[in-house]
This record gives sequence, structure tokens and C-alpha cells, in this order.
Amino acid sequence: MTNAHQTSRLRPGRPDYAILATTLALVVIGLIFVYSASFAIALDAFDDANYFLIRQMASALIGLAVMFFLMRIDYRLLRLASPALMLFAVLSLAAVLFVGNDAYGARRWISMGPLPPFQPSEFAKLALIIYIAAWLASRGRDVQSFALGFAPFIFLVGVVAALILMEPDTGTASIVVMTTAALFFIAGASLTHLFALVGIAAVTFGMLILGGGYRSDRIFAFIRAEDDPAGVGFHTLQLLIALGSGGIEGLGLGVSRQKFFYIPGAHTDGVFAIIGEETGFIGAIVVIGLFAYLVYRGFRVAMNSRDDFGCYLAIGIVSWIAFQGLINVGGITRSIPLTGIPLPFVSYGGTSLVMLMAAIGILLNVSRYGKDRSFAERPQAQRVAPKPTRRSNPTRQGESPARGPA
Amino acid sequence: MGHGRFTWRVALLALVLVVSTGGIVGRLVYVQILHHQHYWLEAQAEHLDKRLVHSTRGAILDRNGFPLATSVDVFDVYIDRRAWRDDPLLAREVAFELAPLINDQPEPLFTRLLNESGGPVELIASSVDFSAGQSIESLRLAGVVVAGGTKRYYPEGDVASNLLGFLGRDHVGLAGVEADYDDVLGGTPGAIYFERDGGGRPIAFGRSRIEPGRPGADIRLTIDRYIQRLIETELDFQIRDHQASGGTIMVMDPTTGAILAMASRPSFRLSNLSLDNPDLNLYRNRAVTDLYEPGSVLKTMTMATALDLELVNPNTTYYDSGTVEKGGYTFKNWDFSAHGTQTMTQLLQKSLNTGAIWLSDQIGATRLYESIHRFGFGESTHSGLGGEAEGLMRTNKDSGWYPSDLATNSYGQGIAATPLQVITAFSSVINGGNLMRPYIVEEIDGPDSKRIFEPVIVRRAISEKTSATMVKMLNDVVDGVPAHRAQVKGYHVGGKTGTTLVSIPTGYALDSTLATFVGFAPAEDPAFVMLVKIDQPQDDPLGGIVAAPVFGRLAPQILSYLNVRPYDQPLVRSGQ
Repeated sequence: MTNAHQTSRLRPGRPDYAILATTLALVVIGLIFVYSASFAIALDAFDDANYFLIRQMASALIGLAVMFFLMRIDYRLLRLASPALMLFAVLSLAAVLFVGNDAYGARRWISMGPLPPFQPSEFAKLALIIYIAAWLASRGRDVQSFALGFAPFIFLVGVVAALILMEPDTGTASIVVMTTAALFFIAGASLTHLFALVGIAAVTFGMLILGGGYRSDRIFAFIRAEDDPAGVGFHTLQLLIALGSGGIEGLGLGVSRQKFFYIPGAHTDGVFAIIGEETGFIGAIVVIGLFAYLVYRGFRVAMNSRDDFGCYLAIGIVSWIAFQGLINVGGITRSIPLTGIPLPFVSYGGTSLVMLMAAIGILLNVSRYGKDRSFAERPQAQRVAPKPTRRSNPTRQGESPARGPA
Repeated sequence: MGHGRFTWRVALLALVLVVSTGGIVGRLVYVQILHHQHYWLEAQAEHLDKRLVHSTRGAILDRNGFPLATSVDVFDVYIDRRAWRDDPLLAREVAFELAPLINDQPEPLFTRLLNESGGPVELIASSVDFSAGQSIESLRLAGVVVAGGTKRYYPEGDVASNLLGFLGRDHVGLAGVEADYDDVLGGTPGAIYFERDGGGRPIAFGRSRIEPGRPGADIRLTIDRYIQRLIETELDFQIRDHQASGGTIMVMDPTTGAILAMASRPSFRLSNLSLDNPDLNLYRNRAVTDLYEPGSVLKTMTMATALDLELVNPNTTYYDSGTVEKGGYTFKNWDFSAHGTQTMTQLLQKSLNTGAIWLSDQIGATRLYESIHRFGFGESTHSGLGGEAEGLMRTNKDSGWYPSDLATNSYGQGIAATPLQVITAFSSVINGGNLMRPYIVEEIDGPDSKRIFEPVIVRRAISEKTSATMVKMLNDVVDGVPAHRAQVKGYHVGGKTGTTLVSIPTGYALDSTLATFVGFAPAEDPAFVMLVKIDQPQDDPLGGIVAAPVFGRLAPQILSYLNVRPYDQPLVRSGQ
């Protein structure tokens, strides 16, 4: 419901530096704990204690570049790019089922030769958020219609989720469903449709668990880990021992014992347990606080956005980060069954870090166009000028405020 | 914040996130703060591990401190084939690096490395010497692990094999002194407490504490390696020479009871010991575990008893008619001879059974058996050597005793004793009359304590006067029967032969004998007493012919080794 033509003539304001700072803090914490949690594993597997650190730093640098790039270009261009991004996401998700590397009984990565492996599902998460945001923004009130709203939404999300489930990667699939469902809900979807959506998700989830394999083991481990402490329950209990032995102040940076081959994936999905072990309750609360603040600032960006697309992008991105963080930490604290998904920004994983930083770049970009920012009309003559002076003409704030879907 | 966008839906989403976060923070409080102690203890239980460290086993030394058995540090080399399962080139590399260090050839070793029939982890070389083990460790070869250990080393070779005994694979003594004094030699193992990783390996830079063990104590024996080697060589020679089935030679210091040398056959060789195929018959120390009938040697004790009771003196005579009737049995001399009137000294010289029976009549059953008990027969000597037998004897107080038993017992038949009991009893006859406790351990030298064993007098067996008389008579026995060839030029020696039939379950094996001789030197102040026993010699059954010359061959060498001056070469004082 926005007028792209009108806003395109505005020069954006400054990004939300609080989001930038919080993100960078989480990335730096991630590098510290990826190193602390991985050096023993890296030394054992690769004879190089810095193996994972170096790769994570490289990913962070790529992520920084992508983040600043996406922060500078007008986010509304993403609307145009969204079909292409979506197409690439679906194709790569399909491709990974055939050419992916087998690891831990799943195919989630595509080898990229000398480059770090590419994880299509991580890319798909952001691509789907952009696409759904663009789609919802263009639907307007049609969102409530079955044929024009619910059915296409179910089809879109269903295809992506099904492809991810086939890897299999239940955790990522549920993040995709939850994030897009949240967007759908915020965009004003019919509550009837939403209940149906919840029903479909619940039935699918239930069938997957009853289908046996590692999914039912995870549920068993959640409920009765103590009955099989050396087998199915091992992972769950070892995470709790790490957290619990850390106490309030933690054992000290680098002093974790559980990272020495007790916690599977101590530097990836289990890194929060190492944070809790080494820096205790205080460190864990700091990390959770940073996430909470980041999500809060993201909501602020959404609320101040001038158009629905920006609002939905912001809501989608922070929902993604929030849900993924909650599911990761919830699993580690045994609040919910354990799911193999990384802690955003902190866990080791190249594609995940780059895509998350890309998402933050988009969020920062949206923040620059917020209603709380100063805008300057871009004179036609200055469009070709190489370096227009910033805020030379701070006028015309908040033209045609984008209306919420409600 | 634009109020237009902040709808109830946004509020609900935010609320869900806030509540979820709150729940997780609650869980963190529960796990990290309220149950910190529980998880901390679980972590400790999981991380702390303990590894026993064997303490160095003490050495077994001879009386002069020369090592008979010592432990040296060695390494065992293990391989883990998983390291090269997909990489034969790596295995080849490892084989070529490892082979020279474990005295193997690269190619056969390479084949062994790849041969999975022994499972993934296998001991590939044991007891690799210390420097080679350290080299292997420093090479850090893939799939090669060395574990420190010790190896028992016997500097004197096969000397005293069944006296020393041996160790099992777990370094526990299984036989001989190694077993009898295992707790003393073995010490207490130390422990390393360390933090382990999920695979059980110690965490580098983890906390660790070493609780040192106590090394085992050294044991200094009364055994003299020179005399031991001497008697073993002679014993092996005699057994071969007479095609004997076995034998025992023992040398004791009669005044202290210290065993200077002790050997018995059949035995095993430490250098040729197989733990996989044990022959239990060979491991026991027959000088203390096996019983035999002492035979005529026991006439010494019968005579000493009569002298001690002042029933006879060396010149007392009795009439030897060649036969004696006792309890319905007729007893004869060993050679069926009859000598007429004989002195007590002649009785011993000619080893007359009729004389021993005559003596037992003078003494009486009760007094004779009491005396034989005082000589230590029928009871353990408490030497500390494992498997010691108590011996068998029946007295007039036991059921099933017949008067004829007194007659046979008087000349050493119908009574069973170990060679150790016999030499100990004999020592008391010639050492002034004290029955000494035989002992093998002179000193236990522990890390923080030292224990020296003093001679122990068990009891007085006979008077000093009787003992002096017996020394003279036994010297006369040797000198009076030169054919026994037990004499030693330049020294007064004494001794007594004995020949017995081998007892078998149905009675006696008439065609096989045990030839024994117990002798001492010098008569003036006995420096040693020696027992020689040759089992079932095939060429000549008599103790006087087979066993006494062995004494005659060994005694001069021992006397000269012990620096005992011949009686006809008194110490020449220089410069006077």
C-alpha cells in the first residue's frame, strides 16, 4: 500500500547503530566461543587448533561485506529480486538432496571446492522471508482470502519446508514454518486459516515423530534422558552438565571440560552450553539479553517502517532470529526437545553466519528509511551527482505513512 | 513508534517471545543456580579419572648385595589399526619407522600392521628397552602407543630359579621368593588423578594430581650367589653322571640357620620360562616342599638323644648279631652283616640298623619321640618359604602305632621330612645344641624402613656337651670310612650318609633309592653344613658312594671361598 515512487525520491537516514553494535557483539562472542569450544576438536580432527576459528572469521568478514552492501542499497530493490532469490533457494534445496554431502545421516551441505560448503536451507530462510514479505505487502487485504492468501502461502512455505524436511532437517524446517507463519499472522491473516495452519503443522510434526528414527529419540531424550544416560539421553544430559556446572560465574573463559568430546557439536549447535559452562549464568544472561535487545530494536524498525514490505522484512528477520535462538537455547536448557539448529551469529557455520549478517544488513537498511529518520528529498539534478550532501534539506518527513494491515 | 503498525497481533507475537524468553531464563536459574551443586558433582564424577601407576618392584639380592632379580623400565608397544585402516601407505611408513626400534624387519611388520585378525588394537612388541621406547614415543607415529612398564631381569641367569620364582604378566609373584614376599617386593601402586575427555584420554592442561606409590622393598637373601652357582653346577653334573631323576643340595650356616645356598631338581630355567605353557611340576622348591625318608642320617639324632640322656658314650659297646626281633618283625643291617661287639662310633661309621634299634631300646619310645620332636621333625621350620611341608611322623601316642615302628624310626624310616628339616636338625646336632629357625631373608630394605633378621633359636635340642661329642663322632665317621670320599684335605669334616628306598603308595620301590649325605666343616667351628641328596641314581644306589663324594668335591671350594683356614696352616702373622 506504499508508494514506491514517492519514497524513492527520499534520501535515507542513518541506520540503527544499536542493531549494528549488538550484532557485532554477538559475532565477536561467537568467534571467542567457537574458538574455545572447537580447539580440542580441531586439534584432534585437523591437527590445527585454529581450524574452525579461521573459517568462522572468514565467514564473518564475508558477512560484514554482505551486511554493509545490503545496508546501503535500497531495500525495496529486494522486492524486484525476490522471485529470483526464491527460485535459487528452491533449486539449491532440491539440488542438495542429490549432490549434498552426507554428514550425520543427512544431506544439508553442498561442497564448494576450496570454499566453505554452502547450506541451501540457511539461504532459503532469508530468501523465503524476503519473498513472503514482498508477497504479503502486495496482497493487502487479500491475505485473508483462502484462494489468494492462504492457499498460495501454504503452497510456498510447504514446498520449502518439505524440501528441508527431506534432507532431513526438522529444526530448520520448523524455523521456516514458524517465521513465515508469524509474518502471515502479522500481515492480518484470517485466524481460521491460522488455526488450520497450526493444525497442519501439528499433524505433520506428530507424524514425523511417530515415524521413528532420530526424531522420536529426541523426544524420548527430552522426557526420559536419565533412563539412557550413555545412549539416547547422553547429548541432553551432557549439555545440562555443562550449563549446570558453570554455576553463576562460570568456570572461566576457556576452562570448559565438556567441550572435550563430551558435547557433540560443542562449537556448533551446542555452543551456548559452553558459554554457560565457562561464563556461567551471568554470561548466558548477557547473550540472551543481547538477543532480546536485538529483537526489540528490530521490532522498533518494523514499527517505524514507512511501507509494509519494510515492516514485514523486519518482522520476518527478527522472528527468525528470535525463534531460532529460542529453539536452540530451549533445547540446550531442556525446555523443549533438542533440535539441531545453530545459535544465530554465535554457532560455527559459514552459510548461517553470512545469511544472518545479510539479514541484519537488510534490517539496518529498513531502519534507515524509518519514520523516525530524517529524509531529504532528492532533487532530480542530484540523482546523477556523485556525492550528494547529506541532510542538506531536511524536509518532508513522513509522507503518506504506510498503513498497517489492520 | 508508529502506532498504526503496532497492532494486537504484533503485541501478541512480542508477548510470545517475551514469555518464551522468560521461561528459558527460568530454566537457566533452575539448572545453573539452584542445581549447580548437582551438576557440578556430576561433572566431577564424569571428568575425574584415576590411573594406577605400578611402583618399581624391589630387587632380590644375594647376601653380599649382588642382584639376583631386579626390575628395569621397559615399554610395551601397542598399535591401533584404525589409524591407517584406509591408508596402507601410512601403515607402510609406520612400519619402516617402527621396525628398527622393536628389532623387526619393515616388510613383515608392515604385513602384521595390516593383518586385522588380532583386532584393531594389539600389543605388537613388549619389553622394549627404555631408550627405544622413548624414541618411539617421541616419533608420535600414527596408531602407535607406548605404555611404560617394568621387566624382571635376572643378572645371574638361571641361578636359583625355583628359589627366586617368577612373576606373572601382571607383575605379581607366582612362585618362589617372588610370591612369598610379593607384598614386600611389590610396594603399593601410585595413582594419577586426572581430568579425562569424552574419550577417556587425559585433557591436556587439565588438573592432575600424582599420588606417588611406595616402591617395593629390596630383599637381601642369605643366599650366596657364588655358593649357589657352585652347588647348582655340581648338582646338574651329578644328576647327569648318575642318570638320577633329581636331587637337592643345600648349604646352611649351622650357627645361625641362614641358608647359604639351596637348589633342587627338577626345576625350570628363568631364561626359558613360558607363561603360556606352564609345567607346574617344575616350579616348586622341592627342598622345602617335598618329603622323603631321611634314613640313616636320622641315626645321628638317635645317637645324640642317647648321648644327651647319658645312656651311652662314644665308647659304649653293644653286641651286633646281625638281626633284631621287634614286634614280630626281624630287622637286619643294610648289608645283612653281623659285626659282634661294636662301639657307638663304629655304629655310626658302619651305619648299623641293629645298633640304632638297640639305642631306641635304651631310650624308650616316649623319650625318643620327644627328642625327635625337639629336633624339629613333624613341624614347619617357619623359614618363610612358601609351600613348606611339616613332615610326617607317628609316635607311640598316635593310633596305629606299633612297637616295630620305633625300630624303623630309629634309623630314619617310616618318618618323612623335608631336606630343610633334616639339615636344620643336623645343624642343631653340631652347632652346640640349638635348633635354629632356618631363614632365607637377611634384610628387607624398604623406602623408609629397614628390617634386619637376626638368627632365631627355636629351642635347645641337646646339650652343648652332647653336641661337642657328636661333632667328634661324626668327624670319626668321615675319617673312618675313607671310601666315602667325603674327606677334605687340611680340614676336619664330619658327616653321615643315608640311603633310603623311595616310598611309593604301595610301600617301597625296591629298585630305586635316595642317596643322601649331610656333612659339615670344619669340625673345630663348623662354617657350613651341607645336605646332598641324589634321587634315584641309576648306577649305584648307596648314599656313601653317590652323595658323600659330592660333599667331598664341594666342601674345599666352599671352605676356601669362606676363607676358612685349614687346621694345618695356622694364620701366619706377618712382621712378627
